[in-house]
Amino acid sequence: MPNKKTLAIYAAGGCGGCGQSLLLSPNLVLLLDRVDLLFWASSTSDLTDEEISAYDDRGIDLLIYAGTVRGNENIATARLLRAKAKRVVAYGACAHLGGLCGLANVYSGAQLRALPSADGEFVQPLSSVIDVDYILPGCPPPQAMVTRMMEELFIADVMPEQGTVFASNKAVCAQCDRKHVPNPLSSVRRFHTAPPDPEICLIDQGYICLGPVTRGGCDAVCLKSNRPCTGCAGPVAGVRDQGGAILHALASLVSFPGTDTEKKEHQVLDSIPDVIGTTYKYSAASSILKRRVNDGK
Amino acid sequence: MSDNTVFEPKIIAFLCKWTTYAAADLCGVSRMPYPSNISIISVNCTGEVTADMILSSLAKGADGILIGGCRPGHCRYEDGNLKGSNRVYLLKRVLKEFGVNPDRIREVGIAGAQGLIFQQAVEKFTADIRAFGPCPVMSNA
Repeated sequence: MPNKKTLAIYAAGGCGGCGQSLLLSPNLVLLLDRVDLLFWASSTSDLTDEEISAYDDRGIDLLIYAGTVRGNENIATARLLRAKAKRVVAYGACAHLGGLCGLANVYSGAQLRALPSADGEFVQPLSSVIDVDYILPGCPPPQAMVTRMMEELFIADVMPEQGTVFASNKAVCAQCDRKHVPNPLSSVRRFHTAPPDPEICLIDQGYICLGPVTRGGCDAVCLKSNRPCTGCAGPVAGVRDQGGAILHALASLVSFPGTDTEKKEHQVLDSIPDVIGTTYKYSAASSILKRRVNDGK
Repeated sequence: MSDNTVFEPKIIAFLCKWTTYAAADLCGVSRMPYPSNISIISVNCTGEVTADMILSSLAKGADGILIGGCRPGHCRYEDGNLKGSNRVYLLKRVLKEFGVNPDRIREVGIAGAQGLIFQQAVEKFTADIRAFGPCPVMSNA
């Protein structure tokens, strides 16, 4: 096929799940037939900045960047790659939002230095370091979205509009088949205490599910496996702060009419475990507060 | 210059238009002065104030957030003020985790006729925020 597009895949900090999700894609063979793969770090090769510098500026048609940006080394490499690529895809929750690693931002530098192999520098989403053209959310990106990305980027004749997110603009709930049974939140239930009913909305049962504030397009795979949505696809279109939005929703579900209302309601709200780890699981680094500050108290 | 200038806190006040906003109004028509540090935003109900509104205010340079609604049981929308109060309660937990002093958000319940109480509440809150110093959240932006 003449004029094959050139593709490069780069992985920064992360778990390697993003590379796995590409490898698992049934369309991968089709994709490799249509592109000229320059490098795939770190699945097939390791790559130094000197090796990246050897490519022509804007010589890579499409760069898939997976993994978190943390510290000056990652920032420098991301900028170098940006100069070499025409279009950049932020692939997976780490590049899109900061990801799970972003939870490190809520520790202070001293606390982090006490942990092994932590340098105290904060995590940022890729889009706050370089211009990002496309986003593929998910941790790791679900196959439904990977397939859509491959179709739009490599099979369609026209490149998608810049800023395209290869997911739905609706929340995860739009693809979830569970029945909604309106029910005030009287206690926060957890998975290790009792398994949930697979037919009824998890929030109605008292479990914390981020489905209402999370971008859909994943076919609600977690909900179909009787697990809650943990919010890996980031905030749904129109929401800026994912954790704030779900806390907002949970707080309005708590209702105890009668006496001692406030005390009972606060008891339920207090029982939400690890409020940042639950509600900002993937989006702490891209939330409004972004990272820990020292407010001198 | 910066060493000698006195820190003037910026405070965003989300006031329920049925009660605390009316109290602020009463303060004004009664010529009762209160610190000009507060910028008042009138809302239909404190239940309307989202986490996004509060966090964005802090990120854009507010040093304190005053939320003024009805006293419990007096909400025009039945329980809007209680829901709003629950949200602030949870949000304070989030602020604490991010290292922000949760006392930068204060809730007050002031009836429309209590102009004097509004004046005192604003004076007290402004003094407290002045003591806390500038909110560091904006430096993250």
